Amino acid sequence: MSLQPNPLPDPKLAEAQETNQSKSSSLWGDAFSRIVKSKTSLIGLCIILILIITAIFAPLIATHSPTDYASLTDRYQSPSSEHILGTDELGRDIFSRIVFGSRISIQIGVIAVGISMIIGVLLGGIAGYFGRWIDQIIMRLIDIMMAFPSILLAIALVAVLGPNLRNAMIAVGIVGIPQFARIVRSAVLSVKETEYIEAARAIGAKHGRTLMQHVLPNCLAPIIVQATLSIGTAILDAAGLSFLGLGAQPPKPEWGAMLSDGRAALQNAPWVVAFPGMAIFLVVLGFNLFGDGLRDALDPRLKQ
Amino acid sequence: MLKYIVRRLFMLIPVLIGVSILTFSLIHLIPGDPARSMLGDKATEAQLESLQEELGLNDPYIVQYGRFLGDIVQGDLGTSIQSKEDIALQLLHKLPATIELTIFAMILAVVVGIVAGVIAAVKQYSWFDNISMTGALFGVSMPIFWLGLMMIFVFSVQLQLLPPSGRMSSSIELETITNFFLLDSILTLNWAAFKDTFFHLLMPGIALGTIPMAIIARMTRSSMLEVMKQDYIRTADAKGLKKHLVIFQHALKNAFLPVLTVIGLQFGLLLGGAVLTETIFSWPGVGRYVYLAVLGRDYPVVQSTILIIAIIFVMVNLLTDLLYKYFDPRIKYE
Repeated sequence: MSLQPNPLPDPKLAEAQETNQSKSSSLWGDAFSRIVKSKTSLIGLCIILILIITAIFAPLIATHSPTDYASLTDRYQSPSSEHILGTDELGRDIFSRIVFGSRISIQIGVIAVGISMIIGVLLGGIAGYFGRWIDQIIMRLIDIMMAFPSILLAIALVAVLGPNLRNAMIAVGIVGIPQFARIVRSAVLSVKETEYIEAARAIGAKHGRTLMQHVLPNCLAPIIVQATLSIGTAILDAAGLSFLGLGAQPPKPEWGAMLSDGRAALQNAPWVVAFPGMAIFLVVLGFNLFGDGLRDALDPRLKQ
Repeated sequence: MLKYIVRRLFMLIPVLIGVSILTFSLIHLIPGDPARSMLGDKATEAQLESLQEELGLNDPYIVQYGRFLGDIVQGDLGTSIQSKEDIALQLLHKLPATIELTIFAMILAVVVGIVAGVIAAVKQYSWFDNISMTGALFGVSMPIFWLGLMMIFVFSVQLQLLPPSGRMSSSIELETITNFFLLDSILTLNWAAFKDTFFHLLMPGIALGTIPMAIIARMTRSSMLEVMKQDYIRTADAKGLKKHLVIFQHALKNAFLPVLTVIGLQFGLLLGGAVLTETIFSWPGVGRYVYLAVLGRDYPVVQSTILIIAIIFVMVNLLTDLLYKYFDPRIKYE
C-alpha cells in the first residue's frame, strides 16, 4: 500500500462516487419513493386516511345519532335524502352508525394488532436471539398455537372469556401472535450474525440491551409490513366474531354486529346488510393494498 | 421417505400433547365456576353438584387431564350438556357435512385459482391479468359472511335459483352410506339427489372458497412468473416445444411447490371459516355445531370439536409436506 497520496484522482471514479452518493439514501427513503410511485398502495393509503379522518370527525360527519332512534315508524327505510344509506330495524340511521363504527374498527385494529405485535415480537426476538433450548420451547409453543385454525381459536377464547368487544380484541390479538413471532425470529436470526451486533457485544453490551437496541430495531421493516397486513385481518376476524354475536354487543355500531342484526330482514331491507359489509370490505382492502405496497417497497430483493 | 414419515409422526406427539393441554385448559379458563357458567344462574345446588361430579371438576387438574387424555385415546369425547348425546357420535354425523363442503370449496378454489393464476402469468399485464388480480385482491379482503348473505339475497331471494340453506331439500330422499351426500347420491345412482345436493353446495362452497381461491391465484401467478424467467423454460421454448406443454409440463410443475404450501395452509383456514359459512347457510356441519355449543355454553362439545379440528389440521399439514416430495424430488428428507 502506497503512502503517497494520489495527486490526480481518476475523474471517472470521482463521478461514479458522486452519483453513488446522490443515489444512496436510506431504506425508508427508498421505500417512501417506491410507495408514492405505486398506484395501488396510494389507493390503500387514501382508504386508510379516509377511515382515520372519519373516525376523528365522526360527530361532524354523521347526520344522525348512531344509537338513538326517533320512532319505530322509521324502521327499515330505504336509502333516501334523509337517510342516505337507509335505516335499520330500530329506525337508526345506517350511515351515521357506519361513520361511528369506524372508531371501533380502528380501536380493534390497533389494540388487537398491538397485542399480537408486542407479544409476538418479544417471543420471536428472544427465540431467535438466544437460540438453543429457549428457541425450541418458544417455537414449539408457537407450533401448538398454529395447530388451531385462527378464527376457531378466537371463538374458543371468546367462549371462555365471555362475549364482548374487549375479549374479542384480546382473542384476535392472541391468535395473531404466531405470525409475528415467526417473522421476527427469522429476521433476528439473520441480523444477529452481522458485524455491528458482534461489535455491540464486544464493547460489553448486555444481551437485553443488544436485543432491544440493536437487533430488534433492525428487524423493523418486516414487523411493520406484518402489522399493516394484520390490521386488515384483525378487523375482518373481529367483525366475524361480532357477526356471530361473540364480539361487540348492541347497541354498539360495530360493522359485523350491524350485519348480524340486519340478517333477519335480508329479504325486505338488504341495505341493512349491504352497507356495513361494504365498509368492512373497503377498510380491509385498504390495509391489504397498503400492506402489499409496503412489502414490495421494503423488500430489498425488488430494488433492481 | 418412510423413515421421514415415521419421524414426522413422532414429531407430532409433542404438538398433539400441547394441543390437548390447551383444549383441556379452555374449560378451566372460564372465570368462576365452570359448572355454574354452563348451567346458568337458575340451576339448583343438586344440579350443580351433579354436573361438577360428571365433569370431574372436583379432582386435581392432573387427574382430570389424565382422564381427558385417556378418554380421547379411547375415542370417548364426552357427552353434550345440552343434548345429552355422545359427542363422538354427533361428530361422526357432522364431520362428513363439513368435509364435503370444505373439499368442494377447495376444489373450486384450486381449479379456478390455478387456471386464473396461470393465464394471468402467461398473459402478464393483459386485461385478463388486471381483472383477475383485482378480483383476487377483492377476494382476500371480502368478509365471507357478507358475501354469503349477499349471494343469498341475489340468488335465493331475488332470482330464486339456489336454495338458501341446508344440505338437501326435504322432498328428496337419499339412502346414506358415507354421509357424504354427493358421494352417496353417485353410489346409489340417485341423480335427483345429486343435482339437489350440488345446488345446495354451490353458494356455501363459493363463499368458503373465495379467500383461498384469491390467495392461490395470486401465488400461482407470482410463482409462474418466477419460473418462466428460468433458462430451462427458454430452452424448452427454443427447441420448439408446444406452448401448452411448456406451460403445464415445465413451468407449472415447478411453480406448484409454493402453491401447494398455500393450499395446505388454506385447508386449515377453511375448517375455521366453516363456522361462519355454516352459520349463514344453516349447514349442519361441525362449524355450526361448535358455534351453537359456544352460544349454549356447552363446553365439552367446544373442547372436543376444537381438538378434533386441530388434529385434522395438523394431519393436513403433514400431508402437504409429504406431497412436496412428489412435486420436487430434489427435496431430501433426513
